[in-house]
Amino acid sequence: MNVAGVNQSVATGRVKFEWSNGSSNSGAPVEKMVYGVAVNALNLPEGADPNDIKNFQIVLGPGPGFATRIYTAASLSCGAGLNSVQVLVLSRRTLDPDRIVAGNTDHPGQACFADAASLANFLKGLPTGDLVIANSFFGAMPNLNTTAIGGTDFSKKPGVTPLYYNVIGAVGAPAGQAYESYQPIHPGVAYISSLIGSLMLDTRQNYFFVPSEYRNLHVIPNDPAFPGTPTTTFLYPGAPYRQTLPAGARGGFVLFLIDRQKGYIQWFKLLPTNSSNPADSAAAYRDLLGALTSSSPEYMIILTTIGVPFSSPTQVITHFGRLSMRAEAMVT
Amino acid sequence: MIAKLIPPSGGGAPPAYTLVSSTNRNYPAAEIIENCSLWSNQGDTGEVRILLGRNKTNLWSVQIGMSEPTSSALNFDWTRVGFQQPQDWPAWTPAQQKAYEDLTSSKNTYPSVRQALGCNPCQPIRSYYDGGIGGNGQAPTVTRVNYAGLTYQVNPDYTEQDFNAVRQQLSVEQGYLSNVYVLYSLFLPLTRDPSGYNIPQQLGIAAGQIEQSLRDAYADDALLIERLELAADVSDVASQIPYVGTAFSAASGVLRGAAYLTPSYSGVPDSYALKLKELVNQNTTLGADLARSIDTWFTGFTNDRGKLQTIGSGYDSQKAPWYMCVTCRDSNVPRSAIPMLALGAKRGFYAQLLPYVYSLNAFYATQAATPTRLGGWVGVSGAGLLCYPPYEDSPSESWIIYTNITTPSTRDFYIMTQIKTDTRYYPFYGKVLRFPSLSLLDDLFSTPVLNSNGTLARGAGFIRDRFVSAQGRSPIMPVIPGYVPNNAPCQK
Repeated sequence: MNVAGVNQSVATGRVKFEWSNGSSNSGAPVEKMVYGVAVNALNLPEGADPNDIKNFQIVLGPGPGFATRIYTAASLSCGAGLNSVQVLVLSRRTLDPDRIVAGNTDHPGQACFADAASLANFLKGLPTGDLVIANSFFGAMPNLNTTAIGGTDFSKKPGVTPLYYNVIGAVGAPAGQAYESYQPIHPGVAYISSLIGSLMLDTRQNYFFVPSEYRNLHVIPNDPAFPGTPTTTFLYPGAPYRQTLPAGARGGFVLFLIDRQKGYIQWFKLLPTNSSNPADSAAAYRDLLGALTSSSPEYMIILTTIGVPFSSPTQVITHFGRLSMRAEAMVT
Repeated sequence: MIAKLIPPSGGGAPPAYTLVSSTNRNYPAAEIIENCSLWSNQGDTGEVRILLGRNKTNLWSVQIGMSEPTSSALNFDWTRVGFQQPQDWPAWTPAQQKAYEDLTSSKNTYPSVRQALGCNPCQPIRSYYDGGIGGNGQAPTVTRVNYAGLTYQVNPDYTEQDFNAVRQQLSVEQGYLSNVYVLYSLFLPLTRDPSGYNIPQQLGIAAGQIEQSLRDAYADDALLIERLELAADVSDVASQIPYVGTAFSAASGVLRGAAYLTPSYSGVPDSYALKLKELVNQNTTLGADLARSIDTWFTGFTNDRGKLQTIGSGYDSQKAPWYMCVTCRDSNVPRSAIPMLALGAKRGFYAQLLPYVYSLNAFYATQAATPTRLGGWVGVSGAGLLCYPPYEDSPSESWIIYTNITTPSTRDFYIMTQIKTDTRYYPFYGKVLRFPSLSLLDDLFSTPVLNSNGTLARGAGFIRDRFVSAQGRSPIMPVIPGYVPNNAPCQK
């Protein structure tokens, strides 16, 4: 149909557009998922008695529109006390407790186990994909096996006692895909190391753990902020740690050891290898050699220089050849 | 390397060296960080900045390690804030809650709000904050509500003071939200730039530059996306990009997000692997996965009080790393970091592939001037003994020569040699060694440059000293004893 000319129309009728309320299939507004919530897999509130298992929490939240939920073992039966393992089973879609576990009790989704075999069997029987958060309080369960949720079978790691173990995994995940934390060496409340982060929606809209802790480390050998006074600076995390050459020393190394479990600074020491005092130099070489070859494998070593570390090639030969020979011995 | 830290000839600044490592045999080689001022060809100073984060076993580990001055104004806050624990919105008082609900209620007390949102019925205002995520970077209509123009309507449920408190809080959030959407529009080109200057395509170009024999032989090899950040540290490239430090940390946060949020075949997010063949052929879901990572990140920024406040206010005050622009002295836009990520891919693949094919053959305290003259006595049928030099054909670029520490008149050699050897039987018996081609050596050691269009060219920028500096425990290539025919050394 064509319009015949200017100011003409094909009809005089008009259409009135009116907006009506949009509606989805159900007529209800879209329900939004929370993109992420905070999580702590083994929380001991400050000042709480670590020998009372009821004080150990699994904390979910807060998040945007998600109030904090605290799960404890208060209603659970944990036959091995501090060496038991409490488990929280959640839907990966909603973060609600999976009522297949203790659904008719006042602690849905929660269970506690006194031995590794019972725990492993329980985990194997859970619905594939469920999110599992577990911890062993202020203790350790012998032969712990969490491979059913992507964790570790410690019965195959003789000599390793996973103190204060905590894990966030998913039922059916291959071993190694869960996030785990435990203290291998140091007993004590100060060495409890919990998984802290967020449960975030992945691209398939399932929640999984994302760690949240980050720290900056800035190493500045011969810090230019201190001209004329050889100074080496570490900023960790943001706080300055400095070493300045003492009288009689022209240079050396600075060692900064960080406990990889807790992030503590284990050792921060100046080693004046280039010192006018031969005894100081000798001690510094000894310490340097010891640190580079015999430090605990639990530590991260940060080695840097201050001033001129060696006075001459001769000094290197005299003191440092041993380290070189050790390196050669590793390949010859 | 350490043994070279002696007084500089002719005075000058003292040499500086930094090493980050561990005695733990399981400590990843990729997380060994070294920097030395004696690597002068790349302007290193020994100064390093490191971002430590928790790994799968909750141990602090190196996530990013960058040298100075590469990393001038390097700031890791995008990663730190982007993955910090979520926070809820500040709690309203009961009366403020009523005022907040009334802004969008069906009673239409404040019609301009509903008009700006274009909704009927309407949901609470904050539920509209992420409405622009997944789009083209345009801020949603909730950023256009005129809170300043609202007038309190007398209501028994809340006072004017309550109303003003809500209005002011939402007004602040609105400003932050607008800023976050500006940043979102700056991040989108990382994956969507139609000109091809995006992460997947540039990584593909860089992967395609890997020497062909290695590339073809190990096409199915995969590099973990998390390793790109560790491998990208080359001062020369960074110095060609103004103020790339913060942009690099922002872009690397997106990569990290892809690893955290993309489920593996098991349904659980695990490490994110980049297959060499798929990168080269551009047959990869990397672009889509990174785009989802950006969307998830920014959904968090718009819905989370802590992140919105930190990023929104940081942008307002034009502070690095939150404010980004092409002329910002401390904070370039995210896409400026693409060449460094591309370089990270190239270096990462080389570091992964080289040990499959090559080793470093080591000789200590030798009298020979060069490896080409090192040999061993072999018996030639009917002609007596011959000094056979198996390294005779090795290019000089494949060696590293050090003065031996304990006997300075002698030398130590490290020669890059193929692990696979052949055997010759006539006229004498001995191994035949093969060496990297000149083109591979050039691609490994030559300085990377940026083309005028921003793509990466030339080499991977490896420092030859670095190839052996982690000797013994975690070298880039395995260090093995050099080959001396019949264990009867001679010099040719």
